[in-house]
Amino acid sequence: MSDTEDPDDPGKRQGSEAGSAADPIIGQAVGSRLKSLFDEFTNEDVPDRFLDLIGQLEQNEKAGGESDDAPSGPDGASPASQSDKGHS
Amino acid sequence: MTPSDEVRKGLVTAIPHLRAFAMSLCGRSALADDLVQETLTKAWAKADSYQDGTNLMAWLFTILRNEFYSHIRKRKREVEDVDGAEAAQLVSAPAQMASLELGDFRAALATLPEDQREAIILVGASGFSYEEAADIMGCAVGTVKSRLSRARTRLTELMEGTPLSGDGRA
Repeated sequence: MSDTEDPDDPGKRQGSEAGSAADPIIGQAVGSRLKSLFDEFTNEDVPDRFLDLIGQLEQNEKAGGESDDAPSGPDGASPASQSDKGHS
Repeated sequence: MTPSDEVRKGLVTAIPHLRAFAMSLCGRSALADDLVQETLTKAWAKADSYQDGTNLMAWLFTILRNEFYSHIRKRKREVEDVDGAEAAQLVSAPAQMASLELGDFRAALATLPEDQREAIILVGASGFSYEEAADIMGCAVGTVKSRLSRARTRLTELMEGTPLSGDGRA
């Protein structure tokens, strides 16, 4: 019958994956599994310890580095003072 | 010494990706999170060796993989003193399997040699180019490609040999 359309045209099946074509060496089967696994990891909630760590690094830098609004010596601002207002 | 805003923001944004990389390398484990912590700390400390505008993610991944390998080397040395055979297991202990399909694949991934696993994660999962992956791993682009190719062969064999893998290839 009609021979104008080739349903097996490989050019049609490929390249339409939204922006994430599989790497040619890795291939689709392995590539898609890698991505799902990686996405699963990436989408996990970030434990607080890492954000705390960044905050800590920033604090250290403010305490150690010489910025113009730093009070005085290292004893000037004690980080422990943030919660000692709570005397019941 | 002071990280630029770019680095500062980049670090926070990078955390989930760094964790994913670490967990892909050594399973969901305390070690994975320790590697991320070390990476963030190191990156902060040597922020001035990063050049604004270059690939921050690649820079961070490089730090993390170097931490990973120095950990492995240290671990192997320690264990070899006691029992050399245990070293290999420590390195590639697979994560707990959460789901069957992904679990199978995860176990298969864990059986790859580190260099192949690292290559296939960087390119196939994190989306780095061959050149970037070569930079991160400190090897030639051709080496990246051959690692990828060997990793694919091995993983494909393992997946096909596994009866449980409900292969959804479309």
